[in-house]
Amino acid sequence: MSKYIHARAGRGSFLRTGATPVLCSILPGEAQAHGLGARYDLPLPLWLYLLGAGAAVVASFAFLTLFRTSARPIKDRPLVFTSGRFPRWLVVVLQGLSLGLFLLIVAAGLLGNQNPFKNIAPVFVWVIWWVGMTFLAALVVNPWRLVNPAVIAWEWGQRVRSWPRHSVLGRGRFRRYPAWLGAWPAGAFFLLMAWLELIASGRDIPRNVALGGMTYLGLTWIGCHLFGPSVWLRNGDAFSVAFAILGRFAPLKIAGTGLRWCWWLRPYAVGLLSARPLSASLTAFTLLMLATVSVDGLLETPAWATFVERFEGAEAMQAISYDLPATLLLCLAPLVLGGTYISVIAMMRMASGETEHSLRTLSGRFVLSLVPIAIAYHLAHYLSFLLLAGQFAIPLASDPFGFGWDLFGTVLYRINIGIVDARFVWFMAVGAIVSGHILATWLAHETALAVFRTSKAARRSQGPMLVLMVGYTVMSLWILSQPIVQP
Amino acid sequence: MSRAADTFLTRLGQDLFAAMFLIVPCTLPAMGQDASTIKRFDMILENGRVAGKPRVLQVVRGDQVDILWTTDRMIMLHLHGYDIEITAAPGSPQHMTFTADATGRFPVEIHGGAGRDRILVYVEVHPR
Repeated sequence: MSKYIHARAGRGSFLRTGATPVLCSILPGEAQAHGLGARYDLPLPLWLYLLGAGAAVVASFAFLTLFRTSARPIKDRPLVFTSGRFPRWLVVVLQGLSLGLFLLIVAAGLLGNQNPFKNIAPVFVWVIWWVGMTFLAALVVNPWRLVNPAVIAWEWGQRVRSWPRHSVLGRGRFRRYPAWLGAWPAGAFFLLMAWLELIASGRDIPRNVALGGMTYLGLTWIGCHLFGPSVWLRNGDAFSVAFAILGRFAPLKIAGTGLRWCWWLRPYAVGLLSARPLSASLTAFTLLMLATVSVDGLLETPAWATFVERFEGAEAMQAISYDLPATLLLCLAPLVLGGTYISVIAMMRMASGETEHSLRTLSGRFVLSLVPIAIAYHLAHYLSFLLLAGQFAIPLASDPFGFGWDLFGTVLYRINIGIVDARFVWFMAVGAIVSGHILATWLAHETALAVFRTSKAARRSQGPMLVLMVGYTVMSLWILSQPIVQP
Repeated sequence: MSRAADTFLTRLGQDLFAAMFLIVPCTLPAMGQDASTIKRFDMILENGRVAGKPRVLQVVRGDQVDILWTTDRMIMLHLHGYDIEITAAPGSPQHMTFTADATGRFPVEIHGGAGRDRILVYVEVHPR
């Protein structure tokens, strides 16, 4: 699917006729070929790519050699700078805003202009929320449990239903969630969402966005009704699980129920340290997230474009759709990453000499240490996209339905494509990736100290993990150094 | 602040300190005040295609860019990002002119015709 940004979204009312053929007024059918997801990033210059890769390798060696053999691992609980409570009115305001915004987006998607650049729904969901909320959850705070509109609607519905008794939303009346199922449903939904984002055509059509939102609402209601919100959101809701994993990296953490919410401030990345191993399904989910982030970039490289050309050239393949190779890549990449990861864990176990630890426990303990690299790559990959495509929200806020309104006077705003210079983006990208790599190495270091009985075993175990991290980092840098080829 | 947090900061601080020496020098802005130039390109399309793979036209930010399109069929071309469209016909070559004030890699696409719209060239605007 071809994806481009049109810089014209703010150009006045679509009711103006007789104007030069503006590509924004094309039929919805053609809108499929002109999506919102275009990126105009310049590839990283070679010297910067090599510098970044070199820095990652040097940092890893430094960690390995400066490994403090007498160090004690840091326990994650006291690692808090400060904490506090959320005022109740703020909770109500945020939840009300979120639900209101959700209803506006669904209404705009169903009833408004079906051109993706004249309707607020696609931009808001695919840029502001899907990309922007990922940035927010990873770098500042994960607000999803607080502002998830589907859950808010369900909880308010429960309160209305139990009026005027105001009974506490107890646990007794929910079914038991089958433990063997774990977070696998969330993983399946995440894979589906990734496929919709990266490969499916028609994802930018406002009606589809609205239908997707309503499907999510329905699914969440059914899940909460059957199993209760806390169990469902931990196991069945792809977004809650994904944002929660990313939110572990963030310095601010919020948690609570009903109107009672608290916040904690801590250093970056320490939330990724965990005293207990992640379950197998959550480990798999994390690896799926990591793989998806890379596939996103891989699909735009010239190497992939060449591969697909050859694939399509093969005789028997002429009739098969273009999407098939990409879908296969999306499904295989997590398996390849998973297999690689398990092998690395096995090598670590052997290297450490302490073979009493099971593979399952070790994989569950170390998987989160890879997350900073993925977050850094995601930041590098999407920073200028967010700043460019995000600007569409400005004119669309004044005319969310595309009916020719001008609520805030911003409808004629033209996108400024020069808002970020390529050099700034490059340095941010490499800086982020190298920092992410250093944090990841540190996390693996701390985890090893906590897991293995002797620090000598911990030190010996780090070799394979560092190779994996360097490989992942260098691959991320490589993707950024490739010119973007839009299919 | 807890003692553990304090220790953590000291240890991590030492580790990150070394890394700073790699990052900071790279962020120093490059100096360079070359005068902007006019860059002209002549693109000849045969049967709606550029010979070979999509070419890359490289310019520097601030340049005045002028691309002349000569074609043997009626075509509509769109430069994304800068959002410039032209319609060229046999016998009347058209110019795409703009000042490259935004960096990036921008495709020029040909619209219409059978099948998917195709990318003909990429215009790469490099930072100074």
